[in-house]
Amino acid sequence: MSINDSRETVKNKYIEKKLYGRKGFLKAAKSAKGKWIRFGILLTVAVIVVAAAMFGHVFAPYDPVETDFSAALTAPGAGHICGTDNLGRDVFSRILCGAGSSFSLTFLCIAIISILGMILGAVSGYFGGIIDTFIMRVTDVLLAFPDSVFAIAVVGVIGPGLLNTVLALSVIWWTKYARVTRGLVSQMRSKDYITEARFGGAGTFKILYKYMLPNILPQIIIMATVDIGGMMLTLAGLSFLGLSTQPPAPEWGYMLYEGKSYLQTAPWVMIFAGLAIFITVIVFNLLGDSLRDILDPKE
Amino acid sequence: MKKLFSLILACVLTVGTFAGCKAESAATNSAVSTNSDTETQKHINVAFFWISTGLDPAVDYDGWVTSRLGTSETLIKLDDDLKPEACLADEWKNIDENTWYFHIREGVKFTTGNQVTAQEAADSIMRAVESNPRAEEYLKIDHIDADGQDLTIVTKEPNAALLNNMAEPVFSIIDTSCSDDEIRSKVCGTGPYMVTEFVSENKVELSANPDYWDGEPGLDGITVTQIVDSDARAMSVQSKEIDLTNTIDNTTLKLFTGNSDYNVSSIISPRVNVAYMNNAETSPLSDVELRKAISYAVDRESYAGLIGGSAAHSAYSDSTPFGNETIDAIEYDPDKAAEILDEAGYIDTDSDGFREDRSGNQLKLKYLQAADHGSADSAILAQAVQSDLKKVGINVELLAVENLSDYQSSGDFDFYTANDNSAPTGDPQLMLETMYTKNASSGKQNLTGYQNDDIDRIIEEMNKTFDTEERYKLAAQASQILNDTAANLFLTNSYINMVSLAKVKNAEQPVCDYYFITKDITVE
Repeated sequence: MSINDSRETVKNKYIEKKLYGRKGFLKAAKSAKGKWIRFGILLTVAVIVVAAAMFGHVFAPYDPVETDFSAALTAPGAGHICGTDNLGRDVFSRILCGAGSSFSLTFLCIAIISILGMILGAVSGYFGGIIDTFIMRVTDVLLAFPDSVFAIAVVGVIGPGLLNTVLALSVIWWTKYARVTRGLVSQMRSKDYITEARFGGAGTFKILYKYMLPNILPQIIIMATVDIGGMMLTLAGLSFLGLSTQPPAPEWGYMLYEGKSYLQTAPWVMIFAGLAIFITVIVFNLLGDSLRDILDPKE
Repeated sequence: MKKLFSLILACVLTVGTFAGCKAESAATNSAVSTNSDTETQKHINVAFFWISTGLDPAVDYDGWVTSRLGTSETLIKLDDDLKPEACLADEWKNIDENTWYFHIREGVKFTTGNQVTAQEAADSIMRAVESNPRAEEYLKIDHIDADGQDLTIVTKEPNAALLNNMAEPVFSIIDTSCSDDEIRSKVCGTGPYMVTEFVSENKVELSANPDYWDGEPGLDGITVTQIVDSDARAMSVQSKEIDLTNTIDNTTLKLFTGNSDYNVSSIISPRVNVAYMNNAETSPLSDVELRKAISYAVDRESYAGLIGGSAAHSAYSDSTPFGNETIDAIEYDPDKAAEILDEAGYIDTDSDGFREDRSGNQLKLKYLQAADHGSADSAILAQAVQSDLKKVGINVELLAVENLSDYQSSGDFDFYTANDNSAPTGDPQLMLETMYTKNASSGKQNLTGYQNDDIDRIIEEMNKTFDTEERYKLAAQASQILNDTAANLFLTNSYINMVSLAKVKNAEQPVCDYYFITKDITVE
């Protein structure tokens, strides 16, 4: 067998693999159909998770803040399927009800940062000049801060609480979106169809809204979906530090913190909250990946 | 291929990370063992929940750290019944209302080699009084006379609490010929151990004091590390990195009790978990009826079950001999709480499950919670109180804060928690005076605006009452008044404990928690 032959075989194999080689669910789908199936499954799981979060309080078998001092730290069993925490509250109910606040905060944050980032990025990319320089230098400065540390500092100044945390994270997380939007907009600005639109009498707002936004949106949606997992982890991290939700409201990150002291004596307090975060983050990360497979024009 | 490679790389990195941890802990372990192996040195590693930024006993509460380290001593010390016992002074008497006499033990040397004379002791006490306002309030000193080993303290006014207050570590006797910098890093005291290395809020290396007056210390060297978090302290003992530590949370303590690999020494302390209530006009809690109702609504017995310790009956811990058994305590009675609230006009007018105040406005009480001694207890208590008050229709909002003192000084709170020592010097007057009058202006102080003429009168009487039993009776009267006026929420008396590996001997938790390392602690 000559070298050329073997090269040819390898190349063929590679092409074959690329076309049909999808073996696992977690691997990226290669065929268009596979992409859609994968996306459909993940979307269903995500919808179930979100629905569980939104209507969790309906299914919760106990009041998540109702204490029962005599039943503190009961192991998982018939009465409490995930056990009880240090004040005798049902861990399962707390996880279900805590999902609501974890999710709504995450979505609120993502909405704020993507819209804010898009507006600033579009302004910067479209108008250019000194506005562009100013906005981009601000993003450079913000990108230089570690986001959690910055959020801790902001919350430290304005006091702990849900909305303050959202504010703190929003102030720093928008930069990525602004950069992507700016890149896309400044590229598009010199395209023929924009010039034609302008000759056709379209104003700045109309150009941005009608001709540019549809081209920006898919990218932003992909980024936002991928960011859900990261944002959820960051929020959980902050509330683990006691900066976000204030007790006794159930929140996954804070449940981890409360469970920390019982890691050796009553591990269920921590394990189930950790599992909830783990599952949710992985579902949304995979969903984001699969959405990119579908929407990304490069593929 | 690329994927396989990245997968392998990821695995290698993960393993590498864990291997890194392992190697590191192995390294510390081996460092520790070489330390103890060389020439059969007796050395242990100790974890404190707090090491101060300096080791000058006269500064703030840093004396508590130098005392725990076994590096400084006072004229007298307190035994487990909170009675004075001889230390650097071997004899003392009260000459008249304003005059106290102490005889300084002969032959005691500072770690600097200088002799401890009455003059040295006087200089040291005056240095504390001049640099720490708390010290001045404790002694009310006019002047000190020193002659050989005889020390005479004259006070401005009768101060019957002086003897016990002398045990407060702020009055540690140190060699004042040392510069302030030397004292800050070396203490220059008289204890069984002396400082060889000090890293602020991190680490202290101690070695035995060869000239110690009370026999040879049981160890050659001690490394004290600050580990703030209670769980981390517990785990460091389990991993054998630390040989001895204290204040482990109750639930975690179960891992050590009844296990022959560890010694556990636990004792009920003068510390009381208190939820201080803001008595100032700005807070709804200035209404005594509301405070009373709240006092009836909290289930102290259950709280003690959650965090360990026992239910508190008064401002003083049940471990103190201040007559708690003679007074009427507020017991858990949610029905009575509801009745008081109804009568006082706190009624839920908008049916949201929470009562409104007398004029029909929303009533929401702000409860500040900060971790004390790296323990999770304050968070558990806060949520338990919140849940109990919810049951009688009182809305409490919890705020976990780091900068508690900022909120306190601005008066921006309704409740705040603290785990406070109800008898820091074994005498009832100090706590009463600092927390319930306007007399104290430094350190722990009355931030709730509580004022009561009867308490003020009792304090005046205490100043002139030199008989111990009479003082205890006055204390019981005071705690009855505090209970009757529902001054604060006295929740639980807390246990304090010491946990050590089985090889460590004689590590006993004293009632006074500013004692820790003693000359008796040794290893097998």
